[in-house]
Amino acid sequence: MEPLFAAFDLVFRWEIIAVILGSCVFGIFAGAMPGISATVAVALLVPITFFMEPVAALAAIATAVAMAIFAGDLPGALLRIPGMPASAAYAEEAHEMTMKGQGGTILMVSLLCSVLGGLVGTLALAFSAPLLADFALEFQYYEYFWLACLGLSTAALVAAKNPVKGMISLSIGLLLATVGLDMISGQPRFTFGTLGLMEGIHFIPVMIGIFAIAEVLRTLIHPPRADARNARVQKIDFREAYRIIWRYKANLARGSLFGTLIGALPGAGSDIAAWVSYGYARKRSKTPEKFGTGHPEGIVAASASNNAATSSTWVPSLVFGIPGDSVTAIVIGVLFLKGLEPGPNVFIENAPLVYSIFVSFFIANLVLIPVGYVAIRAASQLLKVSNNILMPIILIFTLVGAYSINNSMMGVGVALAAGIGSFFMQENDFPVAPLILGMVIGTLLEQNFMQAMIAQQGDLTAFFSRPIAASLGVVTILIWVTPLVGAVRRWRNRQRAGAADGNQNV
Amino acid sequence: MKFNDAISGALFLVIGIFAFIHAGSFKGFPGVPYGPEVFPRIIAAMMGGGGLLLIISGLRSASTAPWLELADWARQPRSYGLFMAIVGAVLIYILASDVLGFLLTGSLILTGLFRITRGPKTLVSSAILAIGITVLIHLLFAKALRVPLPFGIIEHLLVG
Repeated sequence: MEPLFAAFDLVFRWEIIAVILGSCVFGIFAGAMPGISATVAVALLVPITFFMEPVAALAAIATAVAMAIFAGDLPGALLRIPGMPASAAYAEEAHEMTMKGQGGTILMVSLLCSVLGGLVGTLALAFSAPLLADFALEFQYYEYFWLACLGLSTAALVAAKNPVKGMISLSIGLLLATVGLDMISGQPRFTFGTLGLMEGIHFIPVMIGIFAIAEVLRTLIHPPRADARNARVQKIDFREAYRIIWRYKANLARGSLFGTLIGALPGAGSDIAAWVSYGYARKRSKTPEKFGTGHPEGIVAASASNNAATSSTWVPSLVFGIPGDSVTAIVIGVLFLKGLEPGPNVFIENAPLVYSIFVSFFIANLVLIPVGYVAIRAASQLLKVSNNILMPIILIFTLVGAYSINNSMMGVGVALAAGIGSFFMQENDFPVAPLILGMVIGTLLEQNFMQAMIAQQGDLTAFFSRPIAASLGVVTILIWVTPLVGAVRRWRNRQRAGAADGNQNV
Repeated sequence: MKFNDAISGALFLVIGIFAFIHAGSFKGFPGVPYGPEVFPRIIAAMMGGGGLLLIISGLRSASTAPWLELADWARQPRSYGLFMAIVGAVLIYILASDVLGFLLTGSLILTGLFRITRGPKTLVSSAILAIGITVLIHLLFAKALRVPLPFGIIEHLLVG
């Protein structure tokens, strides 16, 4: 309990509250803009948080994400364009409600469900993380090695649409992480004799490029097809909103639970949570035929779910240092820069800091009610902000951000290269999340492997000699093997079909 | 602008092979069972292997999928102009801001970009907007966060 009280003292200071309120406004605005996802919002925040104390930095990121995930529903409902991937599952449904004139009401439902889901996720985070951390204190190199492999493999192979492209994206990130002086041997790797690369490639400019600069390119070049003039202010019927939530309270509970569980998996985040919850709500519904025609049932489940996942996705990040999605990957990167190594020891050495994250999430979710309400009322104005003005501003902002990390133009150059690369990757359906995860976890993965091997004099069986490590190892290897088995089976089926065709021809 | 998977696959295969060979030049440290080349080589093999798989699937679908598929945006000349303008803006920033300083470079780049995105008739309002935004960013980073932004002519005039 003591760390919790200390955390309250840490958070309830006027400068932290000011940071939280500022991030609220920023998060709502960013989330409502179809060009800016929660990840881009965090990418834009990082250069600013870089100069803040850890509590303020983490509070800012936590708040902005919670706000942005809700605000993504605004353009989804009003323009049928999800403000972010996490809102995509039910954007069409919400838009149908808007067509019926219930846009304001459904956004209010969405807001309240987001808040409730977010609170459930936060409570789960606050209670499970310290317990898990206690358990994780026993972990050594072997367990961390497998956890890192597991997180990367799910991100690359399971979460990505095309596992091969996910794997390539991951390998780019891992390769970037090896650039610079090797920690163990002191050898320069992939520096090609340049002094600037000795320190390695800094992760923040890469992240800024991959998310922000690429998004500027994408949004300006192929703007989201929305006509903001169509967005009308919609009446909010509070009584109807409460009635909807009460009627579908089971969906609310299920959505929050699913979101919490899915978010806590390494490699899965709020967008997957929303899709799963929406799908499950339809499956369990008494009136599945109404889905897609402006029916609130799935919206209740999914909007609670994505906000719950936003909080619980911090569990693996804080407890093991293995991020669940790109946002928490950025958070891990920020923590490292602040000299804090995420992992169970943080809960002992820096307990108040960890608890202050929980407190910030809690405050953020409560503040979401008034801020979200204002955002719904102002949505039609908010959506009129033109990308033609916004995107150049974001570009200049990212340049300053990339420069400010090391006060060098090299950061700007790296960000530009990463942005162009990311733009072409996304044009060709390569996911970029595995890249950023690989870049953040790569060093950790290699160090754990090397240190374990130095201790064991190169005996690889050590990775299976402890029960938890062995089970994590088996799960990871299964994830590697499954796509292979699937590919072989498809190949054999095709062969058989080919043989059958051949027989018929004879 | 979607390339056939065989093209992107070939690119990653080449990078993978190059990284694999180049990693051979990293010298190990006595007493360490696995040298600094092991990890890069595993990663390079992963990338090269993935590239190979993409080449196979790309060639298999080559009859249906074109080598280069142009999305709607890629058929419009304006898109390429925008792309070059953004890349150019960043390059100008890298090259000029150390000499001209942040305030001047930032305002010029923003004015230019606004002119392109908002149309040529908006030069005056674009310039005013650009200067205002640049000053705001300058205040945020240089004053509030104390980042030493590139110092130039205008900054010298201001400081005296």
